[in-house]
Amino acid sequence: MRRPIVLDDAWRAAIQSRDIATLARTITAIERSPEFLLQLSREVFSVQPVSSIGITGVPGAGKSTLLNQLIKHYRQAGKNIAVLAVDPSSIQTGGAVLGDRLRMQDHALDDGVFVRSLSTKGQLGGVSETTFITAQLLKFAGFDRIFIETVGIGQNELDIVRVADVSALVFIPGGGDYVQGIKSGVMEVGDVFAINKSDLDGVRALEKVLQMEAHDRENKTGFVTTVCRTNAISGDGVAELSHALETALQSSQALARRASQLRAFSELLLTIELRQHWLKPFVAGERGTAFFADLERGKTQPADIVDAFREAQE
Amino acid sequence: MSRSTEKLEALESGGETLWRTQYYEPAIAEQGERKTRFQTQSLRWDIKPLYTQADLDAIGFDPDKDLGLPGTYPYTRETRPAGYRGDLWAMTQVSGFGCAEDSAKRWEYMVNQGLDSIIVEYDLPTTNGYDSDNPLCRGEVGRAGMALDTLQDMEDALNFPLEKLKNITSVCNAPQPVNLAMLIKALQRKGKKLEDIRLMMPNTILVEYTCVGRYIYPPKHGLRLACDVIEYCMTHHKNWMPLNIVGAQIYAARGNPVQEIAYSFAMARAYIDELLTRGHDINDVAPMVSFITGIDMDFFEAIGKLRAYRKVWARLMKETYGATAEEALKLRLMSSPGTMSMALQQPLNNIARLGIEMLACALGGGAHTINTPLYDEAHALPSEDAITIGANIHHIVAQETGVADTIDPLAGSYYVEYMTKRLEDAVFEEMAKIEAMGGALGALEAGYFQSELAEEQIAMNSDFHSGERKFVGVNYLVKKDEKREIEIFRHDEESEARQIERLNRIKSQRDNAAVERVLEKVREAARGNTNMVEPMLEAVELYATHGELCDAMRDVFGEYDPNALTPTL
Amino acid sequence: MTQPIRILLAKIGLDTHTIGITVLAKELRDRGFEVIFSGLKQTPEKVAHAALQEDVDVIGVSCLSGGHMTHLKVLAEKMKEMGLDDRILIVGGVVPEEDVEPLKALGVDQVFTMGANMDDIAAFLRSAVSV
Repeated sequence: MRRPIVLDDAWRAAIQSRDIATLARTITAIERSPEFLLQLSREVFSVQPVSSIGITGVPGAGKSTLLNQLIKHYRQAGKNIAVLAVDPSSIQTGGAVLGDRLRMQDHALDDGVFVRSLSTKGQLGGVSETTFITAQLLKFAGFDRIFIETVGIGQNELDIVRVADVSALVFIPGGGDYVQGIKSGVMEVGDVFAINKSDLDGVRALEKVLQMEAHDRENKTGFVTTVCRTNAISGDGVAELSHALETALQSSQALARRASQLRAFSELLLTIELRQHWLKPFVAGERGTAFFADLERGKTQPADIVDAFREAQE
Repeated sequence: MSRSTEKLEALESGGETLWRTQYYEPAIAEQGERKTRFQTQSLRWDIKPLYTQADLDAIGFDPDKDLGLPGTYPYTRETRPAGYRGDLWAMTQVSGFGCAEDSAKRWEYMVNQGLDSIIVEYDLPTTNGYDSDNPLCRGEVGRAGMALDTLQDMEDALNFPLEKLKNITSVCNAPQPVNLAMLIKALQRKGKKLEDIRLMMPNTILVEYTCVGRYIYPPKHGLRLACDVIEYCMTHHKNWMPLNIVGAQIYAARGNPVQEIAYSFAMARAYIDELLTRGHDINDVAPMVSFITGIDMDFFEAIGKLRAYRKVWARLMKETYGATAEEALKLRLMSSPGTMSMALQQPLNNIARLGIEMLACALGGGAHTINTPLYDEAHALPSEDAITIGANIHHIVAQETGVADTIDPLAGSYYVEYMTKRLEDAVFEEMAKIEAMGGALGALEAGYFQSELAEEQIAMNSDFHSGERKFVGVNYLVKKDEKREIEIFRHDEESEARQIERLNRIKSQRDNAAVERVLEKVREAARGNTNMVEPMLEAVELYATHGELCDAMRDVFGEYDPNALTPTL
Repeated sequence: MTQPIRILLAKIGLDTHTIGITVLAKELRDRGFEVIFSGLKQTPEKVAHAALQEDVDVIGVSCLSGGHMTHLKVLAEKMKEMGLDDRILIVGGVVPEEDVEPLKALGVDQVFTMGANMDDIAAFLRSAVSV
């Protein structure tokens, strides 16, 4: 039987000395208990460093391998690093295969690198509901930098902006097609555009497209985006990438994002509260069960659920 | 004209359709067929109740163009003009364990059981380029194969009646130049004439990257080392076979026959192209290339595969490379009944499976050597009983059945020709796909091979799970609370310590300064582009160890992440 | 709602046969498990570290080289040292019958060999783990 987590002084001391076992068990508790998530949220916002970095991009762009190199770079500078690696869960079963850890083996025995794999738990934004608070826990624990690797980005994986202070969007050369494909809003999340696998053909063309995009964005929003080339296998360009990320962390845009993140998280807490104490009991309760039975028999229509819910609250 | 003659004539003109409506459908009207779908086992191609000339016409089969005669292009009917009427296949098994003496003793036993060829398997520390005393190797020394650290080990290993062998295969892919050097020097020190021995090396590093995983260096360096070995043998030992692409491993990773042939040939092209770039002629390079295929239980997939293998090779060499020499067009093949059909449960059933697969190998022909896995394969390394029975299966098929007495006896069977031709077409299609990805290296680095194989693994697992594919004793006719009835080989737990002791003894007696100098020479060769075999020959004689030599190359080439090519699901 | 069971799958030692573990990862995912794949050529130390960070409920080790006794002995020691001995430990691969009891004595909860049914593995884990 696993021991429950008690948020006492001993816990605080353990977390702030980055005790791995306590950290790991705390993250599990966040995922498994909404009540605990709320309790924890009262604990960990006493420090608010700007230190989390999202790594996002199309599947196959080499995000994990690039991250492996970034970690190496930061470790050489003596920084403590935490990584949250998010992979998608299956919509049907809730199961997941979390494979990002595989690409970060260089640091498998390094106590200065904490890697935790998370599943999206059915969320569509490229991260899970618990990612933000988990990153906040890691800030509270005093990690110098926290990396959040999202699932491969598609059309709508924008939630990284609600989770990380700054983000790198990773691209690979191979025609401008998919740049067009993911343009609809997704480009807005990048503080840095990293062109990985920069030994491939087409790097210059891609760089041009991205520079134009960055320029556009700056004109519209005033936010600066740096474009850089990397090679996750050789490690070329990783120092430049880290420099660009550090610059972004110092920028006004990171601070602006921080404010909207806190707002989004507050709303999330409310959503969870409503779900746990209003929605779930109703759906699983007598009236909810009766409603769905009627719906199946064609005796009610979907909109009637609202009336049923309101009646139940009276 | 009688009623039945009329019906027969109508059948001849109306063909299969008429037969179907007048004979077949009435016959199954009441009870239906025994399965809802009939499909080949790994390709999952639908199987019709009957094949006729019409099926061959439909896929454009032309006997003159598609078959030829034994020993003539396109070699569908056999590469060697006399098939197995001249020489039978060389009979071999995979073996090797413990220290050198343990293996030598075992090989002597095998030769005494009537085998005339040996496949030497080394332990995982060796194939991964480590010495036995490396901490990463604890528990693995001498376990899955023979431990090999220095030239002394190789010399001791070859202490058995070598003259009784038609060929000897040495499986040490990533460190193949080191291994080749040790073999050459050990044979020379034993006073053997190198031209009397036919040495075969898989040297099949691209297969390792794809699905076996025993690689050390990044792919481009792996390919270079493999080509250095081939080039060295082309120059010095023309009768050796320095490249055996082990399609049997692709099969064992659940690749279907189309994938096995197409991936193997795409890999062959990567080596060939590199050697052509180095200035060699295709007519010299192609005869250096050979293949080892894995033969599974589906009898006709197996026979079609063996026949398609030789035909596609001949066409590829002629049409793509413009090879003209007969030896370049003729496929060199070793066949190997399938390791994956050797069940853990009720292991004696595997003897029946081996008999059937061996029969397919003999009927499909084309192989200079046939390797048998053994009935206790899934339990442990082979026991002596298993080795003897394995050897006997060769002789039972060869001597008792008569299948080796005529060449390509199944030619002209509608179904066999249909399978052969369809496989050929599918292989060309798959090869074109790989070519478009930049060939085998491109496909490998893009993860294509690995993810395609993972899909096959998952699909086959679900075929077993659903019972769609039956495996006696595993998911069909399962014995409740089965206890193992066979004696299995037990590893000698002391051998690791003995091997480390051997290694330490050699290291304490050698000239360490000379070893340091020669290791630097190896590094220098690695940095340049000269052939890596030459400095290895010098180094092994000074008792530089296998691990030290692999490390010297690691210093220059770097090490490839063991997980770099693992497919993500 | 039941929470997914978290399982770390790893290959220890130099053996790199991945079919068993690939299929198991996929089948467990399809049965609602969260599978963390920590890769090939792992040492017992690396596996224990990963298990600690990932706070998994189960550690699954695959080994086909025959070196399972050596590797599992070290892993069990490491797990104990790191306070992970409350986790379920399963082994898959080529394991002779004679080794099953000695493995269990080391702290292995169950051994699954070739042909093991995926439903049986999932059922075992569900009964062994209380999430």
